[in-house]
Amino acid sequence: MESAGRGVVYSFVTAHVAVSPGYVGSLPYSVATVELEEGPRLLGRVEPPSPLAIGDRVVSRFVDHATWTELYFEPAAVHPSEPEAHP
Amino acid sequence: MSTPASGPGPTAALVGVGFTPFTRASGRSVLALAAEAVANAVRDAGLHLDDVDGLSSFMVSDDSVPCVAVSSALGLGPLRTVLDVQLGGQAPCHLVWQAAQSVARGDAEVVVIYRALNGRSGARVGSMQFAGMGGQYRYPIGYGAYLMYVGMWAQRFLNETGQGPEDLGAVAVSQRRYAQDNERALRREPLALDAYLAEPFVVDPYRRSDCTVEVDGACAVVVTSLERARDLAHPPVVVASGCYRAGPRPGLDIGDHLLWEDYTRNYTSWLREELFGRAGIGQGDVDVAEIYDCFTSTVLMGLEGLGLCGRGESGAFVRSGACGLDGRLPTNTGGGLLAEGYLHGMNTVAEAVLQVQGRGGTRQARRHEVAVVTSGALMDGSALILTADR
Repeated sequence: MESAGRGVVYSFVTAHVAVSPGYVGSLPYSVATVELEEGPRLLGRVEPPSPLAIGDRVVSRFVDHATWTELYFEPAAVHPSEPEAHP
Repeated sequence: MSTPASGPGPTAALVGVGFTPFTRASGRSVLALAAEAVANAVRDAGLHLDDVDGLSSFMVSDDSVPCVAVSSALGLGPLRTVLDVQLGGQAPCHLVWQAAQSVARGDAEVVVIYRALNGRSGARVGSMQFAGMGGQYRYPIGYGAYLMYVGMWAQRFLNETGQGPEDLGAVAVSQRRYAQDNERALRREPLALDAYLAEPFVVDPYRRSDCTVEVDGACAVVVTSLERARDLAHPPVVVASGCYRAGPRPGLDIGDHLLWEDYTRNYTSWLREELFGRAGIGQGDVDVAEIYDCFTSTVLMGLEGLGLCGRGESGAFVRSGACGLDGRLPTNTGGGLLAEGYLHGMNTVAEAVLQVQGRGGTRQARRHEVAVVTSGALMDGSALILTADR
């Protein structure tokens, strides 16, 4: 299945305390379960971590780290390729 | 899918409980803790170690010791049945039900179920990384702790049912009140709702008091035949019904919930018909509830999932005082995992046994003929209905 990368926040958590030492530098951060328009759900961080609410529309982005590529999400309204922002 | 009561009726009973002290640093081996809790439970029941012919336990990522080790340490006679299962908090009710079935079949006469761990000073399940395929999409993005997985469900549950922080807080406040009457509890200081709401988030939607307290310690319970139970030290606690359920697509490990359809309904929604149907007991007949509470939200979800209150009404139910000692349904009467400590629900079962036996002391529920107990938080878990010998 291919996805356009758009979806809505089904649920989320926002970490204010690091679950392990490696994440101290990125606090606070939010991880959401995103329901894609095509149906499946994915996990990813949401940037910025707040404000964030269930039902928010988000779009996927990618960022390359040293050994892996991360899928994360941004609010749809601030993303330039989001159709609703440029009707 | 209700299963009517059939056959000769319940034939097994819980007869004793055993504990070690609950501490933050036991300084002892897990084997020593397990052996002590098992021996204490057997003694509490009025039985002898020579009577034990079955052992049963569970562990998460090898954080405990197998049944044969405990048998060796205690010098038990031949074991006719053992179960060492790789489960967490889903296990206690499930293992009690399996023990009751073993006794009913005649496979064993006296089965002791235990949970032992250095859960604070040793491997901590709350931040444990699980082997297998499930973690590869979670750990790199910092989604790697049990409170995050349960919190992900809690956020959706609160949103969809129109509940909020005051509802979670009511659970923490209600249970902390009980802990003042429980010498085993690690958190015994009083908690008011204002103080709860003033706590900073650990992982939104959870504050510190929403989360269980990890401990070192062990707890055990003893199952034997109802007939034999009638001659022992305490009133029999009849195992009237038990049930395990993993809903559809329960994931690759206990933190993989991505294929689960509805984060607002956990395993309790999936097992309640069979659980109550087998016992021939209705929700309105329940006197005491011991609901698995690694986090406050699982109490609310459990109360609703079991049908002990309506959808979206659990928070108001707890806030009304219904779960307190003078309420309609005393719930988590030892302070629960939130306040007593995280023995992964073995202590939740033990508290139900004490209540049905009338041994709750200053936290004893007035009516205690029927108790419901649950084990587990998310996709899978188990439950029991326990009754007095009626």
